[in-house]
Formats: sequence, C-alpha cells, structure tokens
Amino acid sequence: MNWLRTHSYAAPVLAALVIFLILNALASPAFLDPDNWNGLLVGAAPFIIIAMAQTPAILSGDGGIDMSVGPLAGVVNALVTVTLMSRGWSDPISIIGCSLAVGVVSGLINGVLIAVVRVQPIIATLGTYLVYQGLAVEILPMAGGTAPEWLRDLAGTYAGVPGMVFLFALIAAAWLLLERTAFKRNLLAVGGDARAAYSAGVNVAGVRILAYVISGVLAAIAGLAFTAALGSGDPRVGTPYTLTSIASVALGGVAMTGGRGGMLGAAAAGALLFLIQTLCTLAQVSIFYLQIFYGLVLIVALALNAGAERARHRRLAAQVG
Amino acid sequence: METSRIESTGGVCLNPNGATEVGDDVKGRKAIGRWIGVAIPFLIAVALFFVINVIIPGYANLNSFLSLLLLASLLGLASVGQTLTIIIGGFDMSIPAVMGLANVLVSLLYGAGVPIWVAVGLIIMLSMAIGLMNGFASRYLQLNPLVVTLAMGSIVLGTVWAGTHGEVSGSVPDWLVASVSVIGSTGPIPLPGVVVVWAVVSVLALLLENYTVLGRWIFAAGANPRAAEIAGVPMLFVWMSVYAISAVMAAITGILLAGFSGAADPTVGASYLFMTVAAVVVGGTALTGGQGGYARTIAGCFVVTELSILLVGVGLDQPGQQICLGILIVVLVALYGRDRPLSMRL
Amino acid sequence: MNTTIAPHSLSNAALLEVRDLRRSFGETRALDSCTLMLQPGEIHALVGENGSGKSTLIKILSGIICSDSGDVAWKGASARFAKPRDAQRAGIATVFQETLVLPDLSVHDNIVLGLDDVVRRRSGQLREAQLVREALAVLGVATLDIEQDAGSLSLANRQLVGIARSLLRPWRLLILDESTSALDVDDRDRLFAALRRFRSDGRTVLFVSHRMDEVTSLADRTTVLRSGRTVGTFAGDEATTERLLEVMSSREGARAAEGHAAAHSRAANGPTVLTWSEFALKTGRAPLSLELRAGEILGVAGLEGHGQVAFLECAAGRRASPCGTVAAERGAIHSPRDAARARIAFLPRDRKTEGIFAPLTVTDNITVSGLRRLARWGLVSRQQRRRVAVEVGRNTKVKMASPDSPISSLSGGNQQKALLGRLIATDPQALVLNDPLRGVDLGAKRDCYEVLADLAGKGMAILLLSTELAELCQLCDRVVVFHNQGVEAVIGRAELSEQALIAAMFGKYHKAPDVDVNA
Repeated sequence: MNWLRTHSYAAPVLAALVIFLILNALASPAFLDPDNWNGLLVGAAPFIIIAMAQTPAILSGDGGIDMSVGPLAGVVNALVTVTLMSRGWSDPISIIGCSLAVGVVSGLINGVLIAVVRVQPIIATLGTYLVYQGLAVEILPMAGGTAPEWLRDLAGTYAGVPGMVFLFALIAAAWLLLERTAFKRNLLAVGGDARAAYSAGVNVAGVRILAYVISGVLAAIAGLAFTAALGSGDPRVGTPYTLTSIASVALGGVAMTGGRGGMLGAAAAGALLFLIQTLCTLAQVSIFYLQIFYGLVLIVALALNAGAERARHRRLAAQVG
Repeated sequence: METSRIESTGGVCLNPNGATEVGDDVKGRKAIGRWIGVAIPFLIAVALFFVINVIIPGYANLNSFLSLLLLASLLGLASVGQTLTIIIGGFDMSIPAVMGLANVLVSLLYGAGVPIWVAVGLIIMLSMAIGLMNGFASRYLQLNPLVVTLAMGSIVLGTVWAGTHGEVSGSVPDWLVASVSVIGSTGPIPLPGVVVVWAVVSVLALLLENYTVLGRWIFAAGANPRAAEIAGVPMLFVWMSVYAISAVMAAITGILLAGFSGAADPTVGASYLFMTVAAVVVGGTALTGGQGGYARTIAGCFVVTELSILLVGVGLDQPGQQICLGILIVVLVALYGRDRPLSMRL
Repeated sequence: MNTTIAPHSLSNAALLEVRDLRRSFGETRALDSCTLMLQPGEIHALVGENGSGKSTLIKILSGIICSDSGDVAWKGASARFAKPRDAQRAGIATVFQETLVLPDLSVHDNIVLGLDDVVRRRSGQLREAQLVREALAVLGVATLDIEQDAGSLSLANRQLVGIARSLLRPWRLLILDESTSALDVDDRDRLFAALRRFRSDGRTVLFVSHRMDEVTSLADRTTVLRSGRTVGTFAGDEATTERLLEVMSSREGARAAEGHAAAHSRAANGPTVLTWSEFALKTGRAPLSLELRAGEILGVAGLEGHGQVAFLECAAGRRASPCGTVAAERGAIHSPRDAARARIAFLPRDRKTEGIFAPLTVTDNITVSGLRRLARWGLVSRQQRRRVAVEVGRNTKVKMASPDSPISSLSGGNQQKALLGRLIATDPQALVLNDPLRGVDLGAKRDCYEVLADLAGKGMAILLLSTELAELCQLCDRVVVFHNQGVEAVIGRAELSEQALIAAMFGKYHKAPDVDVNA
C-alpha cells in the first residue's frame, strides 16, 4: 500500500508505456518475437539510464538540473573507445572503474559548484556541458575507435538472457538499497523545501552533492551502455541525450521543481521515448518528424501531469477546509 | 524569517532627522549602492577589453573593435527575451530554434521572390505566435517554462528540418549582408546596421522596464507571482507578452544572421542557448526572478563576447574554446553571481 | 524611560547564559547588547515588538546565523553553533515561526526529518514509528495517521507536526517562536499542559509570543527586548500585561493601542456597498442576508477553519459563492475582475508569500495595483509612481528611509502599512482585509487602527477578519461570527464583547431577543 502511495505519480507514464508497447506490437508482429527483445533492450538502455541520471538532480530542487549528463556520457564513450583502449586497459575492471570514477568526479564538481559555491544549477551544469562537449571532441575528433570485446558482448545475450538485463538489475538493486536508507527522504525534503530541511537539521549540501554524484555515475553508466550498443566511439552521440533525459523526467511525473517523484517514472518515460522512436521507424516516418513528435508528447504529458496535480491540490485544499 | 530585513522597531526611521522625509545621505548611499551593483559587469567588460588588447598582438584596431561590437549586438538582440523571461521567473530555451526558423525562412522566402519586408513581416508574426504559445503554456497551463520552451524548440526545429530536409537554397538582400558586416554603415552612422538596431532595441528595452506599466508588472510577476496575481497584475498577459517579445527578438536575430553567411542554416542559433543565459547571468540578473534588468545584460553580452574572442585569439581550437568558455563563465558567476546562502533565506 | 531590571537570583547552574550578544545586518543593529539567562526547569517568555531582535536572538541560539560578538554559555561552557544541526546536537530544539512542514512528505517522514545523516538512518523503522507516535501523543494528537501526506493536514495540525519534530531529539531547551498562532484553544491548552510537564521534568522552554494572555498565564519569567537590547527580566507576578506593554514600547502611550481606536464616531448609514443575499457556505446552513454600508467596519471572526476565510474570499471574488450571492451596486461578484470593477480591494493574509514583492522598492510595492490608473497609453513615469507612493505612504503612516529603498528593509509593521497603501492607491470603495494586523508590533498596530478608523470616517466600507478579539471589539460596528461553516451570529456594537465573540465562535451564542441584524 505504502509503495503504491509513494509511486502513484508514475501511474500515467506506466499506462502510456503499456499503450505504446501495444501500438508497437500492432505495427509490427516482429516486435513480439523474443529474438528481437535483446535488440530492443540494447536500444532502450541509454534512454532509460540517462533518464534515471537526470532524476536525482531535478529532485534536489532549487532549480536543480543536470545539463551535463549527455556530454558526460559522450566523454565516457570517447574515453573508453580511445584513451583506455589505446593504452591496452580493456579489461572490465579498468574500464568500469575509470568510467565510474569519471562519473563520481563530474558529479562532485557539479555538486560542489551548486551546493557549496552556490552557482545556480543550470549555469554550473551548462558550464560543465560545454567542457565535456569540448573534451569529447578533443579526445576523439571524429567517429571511430572500438569498444572492447566484453562490452560489445553486453549488447548480446548470455544463455538467452540479454546482457542489459544484468545491468538493469544491478542499477535497480543499487537504487532499492539507497531507498531503504535515509537518503531518499532527505532528497525529497531538500527538493521540496530546502529551508525547512536545513532548519530541521538535514545536511542540505551533503544531500545535494550526493544527488549530483548519483547523476554523474548513472550518466557514466549510460555512456557505457551506448558504447556497448554502438561498438565504437562518436564524440557527438552523447549531447542530445540531455534533452531526452529532461523530457523523460518531465514525462515521468517528477516535479520539475523538485521534491516529488522518483526514478521509476523517469525510467519508464525513457523507455516510452524509445518506443515512440521505434514506432516512428516502423511507420517509416522521417527522423525529422521524430523531433516534432517528441516535442508534442512532452507538452501533452506536461499538461496532463499539471492537470492531475491541480486536481490533487484541489482535493487537499478541500480537506484543509 | 528573512534576516536581510532591517530589524529596526516599527517606528524607528533610518534618518535621524525623523519623520518620513527622505534623508539625502541615505538616498545617496542607496543610489550609489545600486549603481555599483550594475557597474561591476561593465567594469569587467572594460577590463577584459584591455586584457584582450594586451594578450592578442595587433588586436587594437578599429575593425577588431567593430567586430566585437557586431558580435555583442547579435548576442544582445537574442538576449532581450532571455532577460525578460528570466525576470518573470521563466526561461526561454526555444530561442535557438526560433533563430533557426527565421534564418531559414528569410532566405527561402526572399530567394523565392517574396519582397523582403513581407517576408520579415511573416516571420515576425509567426515567431510572435510561437512566443504567445510559450507564454500561454507556461502560465495558463502552468507547465514548467524550461521544459515547455525546450519542447516548443524541438517542434519548431523539427518542422524546419522536415520542411526543408536539411537543404535550404535561397538568398538574402545585399543590405542585410551589409548590416552584419564590419565595414557596413547605417546612413550617416559609420556603424553596421545591427549595432544601430541593438542600440535602439536597448533603449526601448530600458524604457519598457522602467517607464511602462508592463515593465513594472514584469518585475512584480517575477518577484512574487502569487502576490502579483492577488494584486491584480494580469499574469497571463504579462507572460504572453514577454514570451512574444522574446520570440520576435530571436527571429530578428535569426534574420540578421542570415546576412552573415550566404547559406541558411537551421542550427544557426545553437550556440546562442548557452550564450544568452550566460550573458543574462554574468550581467547579474538573478534566476530567482524579479531582480536585474537589461542594462546588466548589455554588460553581460560584452563580457561573454570578449571571452570568446580572447579564447580564439590565444589560438585555441574549437573544442578548446568551448572548454575554456564553460570554465570561465562558471568562474565568473561563482565570483559574483552566487545565490544567497540557505541560512540567509530563513 | 523606565527600564527597571527585576532582580533575579544568579544561580550558578544556569542552563543558558547569553551575554552582550550583538548582531548587525548591514547598518542595522538587530541585536545590540542582548542578555538572557535561562534556568533549568523554567518556562521563560521572550517578548518585544516586531523588530526588537527576538527572531535574531533565536536564530543565533538555534545555529541559523552567527553573532558578531558576545557570549553564549550553554551548560556553563562557551558555545557557538554554526549550523542548526550543531544546536540540535547540543540539546536545543527550535520550532520556527513559519510552519516549515513539507507537504509532499508523510507525517512520519516530516517528524523524523533531520535525525539522520545524509545516507545513514539513526534508528530502525520500527523505533522511528514508535518515537513519532510518542511525540504526537505528548501533543494530544496520537490519532493522526502518520502515513498520510503532511500536505493534507489542517494548518493547526501542521504546526503540531512541526512541534513534534523538535520533541524527537533529546533536548534540554525547547524554543517556540510564535508557533502557536494556528492552534485553536484546545490544541493550545494541550500544548501548554505538555510544556508544564516538561518543566517539571527539569527541562526548559523559551517561548516567543505576541499574546499577553499566554505570557502571563504560562511564563515563570519574562524577558523583554526592545530595539535589540534586553530591557529586563520579570518574575511571574511582576509580569502583568500592563507592565510588559509599557516596558516593551519604545514610545510613550503605546498602551493606548489597547482601547484607543474605538473612539470613532461614524455615520454608518451611508450607501450600501456590498449586499449578501441568501448567502451560505454550504447548503443546509442558515442563509445570511446582510448589507455593508459605506463608512462601516464589519468584523469577521471564527475559530481556525470554520468558514470565515471562505466568506471573505467570496466577497473579494476570489471564490465563487456556494449558495446565494454577494453583490455590489453594479451586480454580483463572481471573480476577482468583478471585485476590481466594483472597486473592492483585497488584502491577503500572509504578508510574505501573498503580499510583498521582497526584491522591489517601496514605490513598486505600493503602486503595483494602481498602475493602470496612473498610466496613460501604458506609460508611467518614475516620478509619478514615486509621488503616489510618498503620498499614499504618508496617509498610511509608512515609515521608510526612501520610497526607493527595498520593501524588505522595512519592519513587518511598516510592510503591512505599505500593503494597506497598495489597496488605497487603487481608490477602492471597500477593503476586504484578511487578518491584517497578525504578528504586527503594537506601534504599527496603533497606526493601522488610526488609518482604518480614518478611512471608515471618510466613507470607506471595511470588511475586517481578525483573530484578535480585542481588535474586533474596538474597531468594528458589527461582527459576523462563523461556526462550523455557518454564520453563528451577527453581533452588533451594543452586544459586542470578547465574551460574546468567544461564545459565538464556539457555537454557544444566545442572541439577545430584539437585535435587528441590519441595525
């Protein structure tokens, strides 16, 4: 019951997700073929993970947003396919270790800039956005490089189970573990009203920094996910994901002002955006229309969310009397 | 529980002479305080100009100065809307898309033989409609302005791509080319047209802010939206006006940019997203709304443009420039554009 | 000036000793040589006008801001709290003036908030729930569903949740900064009983209040602040209302605030401005038919949440009237636009969130609603706005350094006067005021009484909701009292007394036989 109550925000996006699964299945019977599922998961993984990466930053409130998630994923992609590969550090431990370290450091930079130096989040992360975009091109001037064998295998299946399933299971386990701690409620409190949280004794700066670190780490994992999918490097592949991630968070019923929502909704919305894309591909709609479609879906979703929110407020107001 | 409030007793007047008369010393000090606040970004702009002259050999000539003015003008025109939307507590992320739209349409229409003024008129009306929708969705439907304008930008740019399939042929009139050329002049004024346009627009923007009802409503709407609504400020009108102004100014910038390079380009505004936000924030307009103004943005435009010139001048390649610009702007904002600490907001 | 400092025994075992504490904000000295001593096991009241430094002192004691100089000795050792967390660890729990409750968190999470580290929980889930229930039981609201969102609570319950949060920590000193304002009499009595129990446990309570009855009935000792200085500390029997008011006020005759403004002689038989016909907040409640005339002050009273606010909002067009109509001369009022057309001006309750524009100047704050009237072709000069602000500010007795100074540099009372000025600058026929003098210091209150009486004398119709009964008795010609979403009584001048109001608010008013409602 409690779980349902705290996750009710995600109901609309989950419903939409089911509808689009059905639409996809109707548009192409091959969609239902288990052989295709791995490909779908591999395609969806970057969307889902980058959406999750954006969530803690936006939940942390006070204009919280992480514009740098897309370019950061791009930096990880370039780093893995060029820098690490050329040095022969292609084993999983070095690559995962280095990627996560990049994510943590980036998150720390954003978090400290925002929570300690008190630069507005959009400025701080737009700054790091530019820096990472530049860095990715510096490392890898054009598309090229190769992903290590084991990472490409992650886009395959192990004994019939898609490799991405393991990745998702890992992330979900980590997040569920974190939800059991005080962090989730501290994050929602800080995002809801930082002043209230501060005066109640919450370590606001600490909570915000950790939120951005989680964003950074997840963005780095997203970078690994699309490196696995691509099998190579491309300095420009990450940047557009920032937009996708913000769209997913908004679609996922997370309050853009912070303090309400969670990763489940954002992840579902990421998957939804991917399904919209596959539907467009199936219907042989030009890639140019996809952008229009994204925009429309985003506005409609926002409007529906806002409508639901207003209804909720009316209900609450009626109770208060 | 705002600690910045002066906690003098209800009756104690700051002026020792008593009563409600305005003490000259207090007034003078207040005015100077405000003036210094606006002056800092201007001082930084001037200081940077000297730095550029020292660091880049051979920079000190009229043409370099004109090109600085020209680039700042384009940024300044695109930033009018960003300033106003930030003051009312919003954001306009659709500026690059509207610039791209205008840029493509003006070459397309003029190339197809439509008279330029008709083309410009059409574009302005179209962009105004986009702006009005932005304002309507943000205020009436209460949607997050950042996301709405991002989505609107995506729709606009998607439409441009879908309509042109990425290939635009067309042309622009010669005077448009001249207006964004360093050697151009405007009638008797030896300055390129875009600089003159910016000067006029700046004066209008400052008048709007300080001498019109809409201007004061804009500040009230940003300072405290709930209070503004109760006080009778027509919020929807204010939001729609501000976003319409923003879109029209973005369109005008996009049209002027068409004179820059022969070919039209939907992505012409891409770099302006970060640049407009940076110019507003570096100028010292607070993202919390209700504070700041276009005067500050003018200084911010110079600072941001000078930084880019400096980075090109010291021989950085494109990605290098990007990296340094990102760092420099964050550092600048960290130096003087910081939020108040939490304890001060209690 | 009479500033007797009452002698009290300087025991060695003081829990908290504040000596010579100073703190300035810019050029303003918020605290200037403040002294305070708290003993273990006492209830200590802190009183003073708004802006006398109470909030600053409390913020320093609870670690929100630091002092510039002076000593705070906590349990005999010098202490300086850099963060709220430090003060809480030391054993000082503070409930702030604003109810800082998070509407999207459950009651449970709201109460345990701040106990944990960033990630680590201080105690297990079961223990947490038990602590929460205990804290709520102490306040007499054990039945509250702790899993519901705090946003669905009434204002009073939110305040109790805020208090419960502070009780959860092992505290020695509990600071209540005007945190009883939303509580009804029952809740407050339960809270006070709890405070007395804490005292007998040897713990200390420091509470700030503007209500003298609370201070005199509850406090063992009372410390009075004035302009950032401690004027004196008085033992229970010395701390009579009259004495405290006299010492608090920096001006002579502030006592006159009580029982002053009643001296208005108005002809309340001007033209009708607002008419309620067959009006009710709910179907089934007795309908109200009433007229508000020019020059009349009509009071509105009721316990928190009994419908009086809705009544006010209907009159200002901010809420559709559920049954019957509210009408001005030109027709029924359904929307804020109708109200504006009928020249009805509305003052919301919460000055900070609904009233002032903190970053803007006094001029902007006063003129914002009247801009349309001032403008020609949408243009309005700076000088014109300033002139209006100065003129209106003078009429409403706003004390400001300059009309160009930010409104946030004024004291709360003066901000409120400026807001009153904002209404007047629209040239209204009627004012609808939602508790305008709540939390305003006595000096400003007196000014406002004069302003309101003066306005009524000039033919303004005023609808005044107030939570202070004395205020209603002094100012109003009639008072509409709400009980349980219905009109319990309309009490005319002749019958008006605090006892009558209280009886009506609790639904026990027996109307005198021959009172004509529209007399």
